[in-house]
Amino acid sequence: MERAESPPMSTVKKRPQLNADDLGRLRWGLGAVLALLSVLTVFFMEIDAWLLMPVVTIAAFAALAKPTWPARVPGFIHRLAFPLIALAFVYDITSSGEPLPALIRLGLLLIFYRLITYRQRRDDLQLVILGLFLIIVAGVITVSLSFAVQLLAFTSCALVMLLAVTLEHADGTAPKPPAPGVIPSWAQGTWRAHFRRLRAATDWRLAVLAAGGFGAMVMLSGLLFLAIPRFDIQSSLFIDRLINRVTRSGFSETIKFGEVTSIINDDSLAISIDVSDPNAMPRFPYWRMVVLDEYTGEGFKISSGFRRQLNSYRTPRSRVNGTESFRRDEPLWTFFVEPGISRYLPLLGNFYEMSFTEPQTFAISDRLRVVALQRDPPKMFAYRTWIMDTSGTMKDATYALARRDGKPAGEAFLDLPEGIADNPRVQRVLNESGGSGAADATAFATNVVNWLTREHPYSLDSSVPSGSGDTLVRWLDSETPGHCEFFAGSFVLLARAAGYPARLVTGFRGGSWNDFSGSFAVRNSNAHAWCEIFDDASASWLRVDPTPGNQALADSTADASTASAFAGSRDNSWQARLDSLRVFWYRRIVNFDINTQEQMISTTKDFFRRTSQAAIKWADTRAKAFREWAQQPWNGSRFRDIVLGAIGITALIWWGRKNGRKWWRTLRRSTGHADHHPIRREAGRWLKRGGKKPNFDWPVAIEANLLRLRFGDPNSWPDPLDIFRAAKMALKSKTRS
Amino acid sequence: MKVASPPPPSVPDWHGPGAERKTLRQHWRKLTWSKLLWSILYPPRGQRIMPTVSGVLLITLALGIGSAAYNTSNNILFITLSLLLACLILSGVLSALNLSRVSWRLSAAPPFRVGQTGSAAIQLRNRKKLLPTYGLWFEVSTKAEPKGRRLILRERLDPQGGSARMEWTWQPTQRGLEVIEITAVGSLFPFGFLRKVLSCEVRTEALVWPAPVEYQRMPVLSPTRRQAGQTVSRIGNSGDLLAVRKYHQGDSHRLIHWKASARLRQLMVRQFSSEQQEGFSIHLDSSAEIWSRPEQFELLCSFVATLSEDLYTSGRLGLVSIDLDPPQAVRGLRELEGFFDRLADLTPREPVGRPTNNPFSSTSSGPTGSTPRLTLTFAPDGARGVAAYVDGQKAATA
Repeated sequence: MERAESPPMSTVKKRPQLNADDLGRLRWGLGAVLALLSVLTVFFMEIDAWLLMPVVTIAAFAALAKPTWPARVPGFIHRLAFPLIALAFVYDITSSGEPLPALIRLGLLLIFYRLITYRQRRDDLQLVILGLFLIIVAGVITVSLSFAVQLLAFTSCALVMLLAVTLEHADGTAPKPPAPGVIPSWAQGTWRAHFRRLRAATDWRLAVLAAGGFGAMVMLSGLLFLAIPRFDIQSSLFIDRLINRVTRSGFSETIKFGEVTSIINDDSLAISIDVSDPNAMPRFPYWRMVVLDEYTGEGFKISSGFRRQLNSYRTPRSRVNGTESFRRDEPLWTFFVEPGISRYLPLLGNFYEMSFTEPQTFAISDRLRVVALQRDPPKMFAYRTWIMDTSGTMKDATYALARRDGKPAGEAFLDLPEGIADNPRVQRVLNESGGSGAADATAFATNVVNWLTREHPYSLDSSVPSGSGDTLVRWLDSETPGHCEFFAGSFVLLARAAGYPARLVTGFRGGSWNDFSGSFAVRNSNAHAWCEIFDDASASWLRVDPTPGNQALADSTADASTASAFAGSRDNSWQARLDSLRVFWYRRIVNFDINTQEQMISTTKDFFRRTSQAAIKWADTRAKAFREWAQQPWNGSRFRDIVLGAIGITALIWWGRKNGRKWWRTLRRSTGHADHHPIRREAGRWLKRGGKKPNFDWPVAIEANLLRLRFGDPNSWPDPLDIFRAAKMALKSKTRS
Repeated sequence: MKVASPPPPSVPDWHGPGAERKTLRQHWRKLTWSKLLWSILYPPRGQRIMPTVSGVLLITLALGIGSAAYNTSNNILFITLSLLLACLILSGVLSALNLSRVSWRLSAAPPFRVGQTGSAAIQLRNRKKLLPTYGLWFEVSTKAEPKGRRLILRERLDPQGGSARMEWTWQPTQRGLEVIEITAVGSLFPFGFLRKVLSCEVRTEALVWPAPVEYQRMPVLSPTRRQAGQTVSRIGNSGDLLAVRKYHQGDSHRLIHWKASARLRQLMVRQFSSEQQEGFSIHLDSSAEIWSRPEQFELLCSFVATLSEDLYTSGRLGLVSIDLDPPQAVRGLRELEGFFDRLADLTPREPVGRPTNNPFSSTSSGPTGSTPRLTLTFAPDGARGVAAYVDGQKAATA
């Protein structure tokens, strides 16, 4: 006879079943959510779809709010939809000439159409595929951490939607689509009632299990990602070349000085730097990017000679050698540059060797000590340098020799527009500052910087008095505030007027250590402009920072107190936390390649080898100790110990065989197994509640039934729901009285 | 005194992954390394897993993304590929869990008659502790519907013994042995990527009786008036008690005469005058010589079944026999059903010579004291019809 394991189903409260209408509504809602997630990705891509995106967003919200409105869409719209969409796509691709943005806009149009029609099974699949396409393209283009979050959110919604579709059409056949103008039955009703039914039909344990299953799937996908073998084919994806993205940074090859300028303080991350030896980081690092050597009167730019040099690209390579000499035990610097900063790579100075993750097309100027890519990278870009000069001075023997022999050809480090050098206002400034009588470049720099600091305050909002003449000269002659470009430009102007070769450099200054990732973070607000002046005595370019508040001739050599000097500049804000996540995302996931995989396998292998060696060593040690013990002469106490030990072990085995099984069964019966029954547990809870209430006794009949449910044979149980209801009433009436 | 009770109808067995109740130890004992490895590489016998349209799309998408990922070494694409593969694996695992510990059995509800709606049912049971089962379908087939039809379980099958019942009806078109079969059990659960089908040969057999037919009665067959000394030929409780006889299997228990039974120490039943009426015996000669046309033979079987049913209903059916088989008394429904079962299975007999004498003579009698019975025989009536005769006189035609 079968042992009753559970009471008849009629006494157990059954969860309601979801019918076809519930599933249809769930499917509709999730489709709208998927559409919203897909549109969100397009925001990150900066595609010219600024009309389509809000339209699709509004349609998605409308679909959620009013599932009945698609019935009002006229029938001719459905007939004309696909021809119109196809025409729009053809026009878009021929007029814009950019296939990928056109495809993205086509995707948005199709998603919009799916939102305004009642979808069938096939249409739901189309919606999922369109959304996936947009997310993947956004991920490839932006390589941002948000891609991972969006992909996970999208996958979870898509899986639940596919589940609802499968349950609704369990046999796999597609039902007839509703006639135009007819509202399906699932579209009627309210979301509130729908969610109430969903909640009632959902078992919380199943929901937890489903969440756990999804988590396990994500972990499995992580393992698969690590385990999938990589091959170094060295071919970059074409997608990133199909979109022309606009650089967001201010690093261009020209600087113009206007009447009124203001700089926006952008605190987002620009560069993240890993250095193998944190002590090698200078106290005030200056990250050189663009060197502007020609002054036009309106501003600074790269002279034509250097521009030609920086536009002459070499064959794509993964490595390039610099001008720095080899030294042992030098740290490795790894840079992660955010997209949209510049095509010029930030560097501290000369380097020995630079390497990229994949071959790059770039140009290098040994004279300016600048490396430029062919174009601004559309996604985060990583490169590594080995042995980098952090002193802030750059030897330039070639220029020194050229100066001794006469004006160096093609270089404009001394050039000024006509009339500037002799301008009385410039001469007055030189005299006042003491620059005209300076002994060398260092003295000149100190005097001029002090004067500039005295005469002009620093402000992000600069203004130049109106008038005629050179803008910088007018600013020099005033006492108006200025930002770093004004100070740097003025210094270069004064230095050239005094006969010192000088050039303007733009890049970043400073940064902070990220407490979470351990990397050095440089933000867009660290963007800066400074100067370099040539010192004939040392035949090198000296870095000069004339901006007030900064050290004019900074000593950027690393010293032992660098790490402690930066103790105050450790960043452990939420922003730093997020930045560290992003750096981790890029370092460990986006840049995961065959080398990293081999390294991971090698690390894992080493770990297991070390663990096994340690275990073997421990076992050997124990065995040796035992052998030594055994080889010692025997005596009475040792014999007694051995006998007692053997007796103990035998007794334990005997007791285990005799009583272990019985004890295990008793344990299961008395504690775990019986209490697993939900009705027994519930009865136990009611009895406990009654016991906790002061001066309360259960009515005899109710107590007897509760005890029967708690401890009795399931075959003798009365209807549990009635008993629990009666118990509740009894407790309530006691509470009221 | 014990009355032998009829044997209970056999309960069909449970089939499916949850049919066998094995403990974990029993399960592990049966498992060997080779079986385990082989089950990973190759699905068990009878199981088919095929991708659906969405599954093919997913696989194509994964292949495309994989190719692009390998071509470009782009980790974003590798991430997407891993997630797609993980989805496929999750789909397979959930699909296997959905069908685990689920069992079903097929039961038919006879009697079945040609042209009349018959029903069968599939009972389902879910023995899982926590996970419900969703979205199963069953392919069932019968002789009348050889292509089969699909029954879909749309509701959730709750765990811990949750059960469901799916009934369907059909109309048999042929008499004889009907085989009702579940040919396959399938599911698209959970995401519709993979169609998992378990082929299961669960079948139940039932006999389909011949179809009822319209026939024309002749005066010979009509009930006769009561004559002096003869008994009433009307059915009813108002019949006079004529005698007490021994109990025969199939007699109603209400007819048991307890006093007489106690006195005689054996079960005795009352015999009313309504039992004593003009009875008929049916003798069927199924020789192929006589019944050369198959459609006429079918009509014969239907006619005999309908006629015998009508006679039984009016209490005038006595004995039945087919060919050379010994006559059988039809006292109760069970004997009548047995006769129908034989009719269901009847095929034209190869001629081995006609019986020399009719097993029922017109003066043959049934139980002791009953009035003589008339024997109905059957012969073709023209090219298509069948006629019933009593003593050479036409009694009915169909």
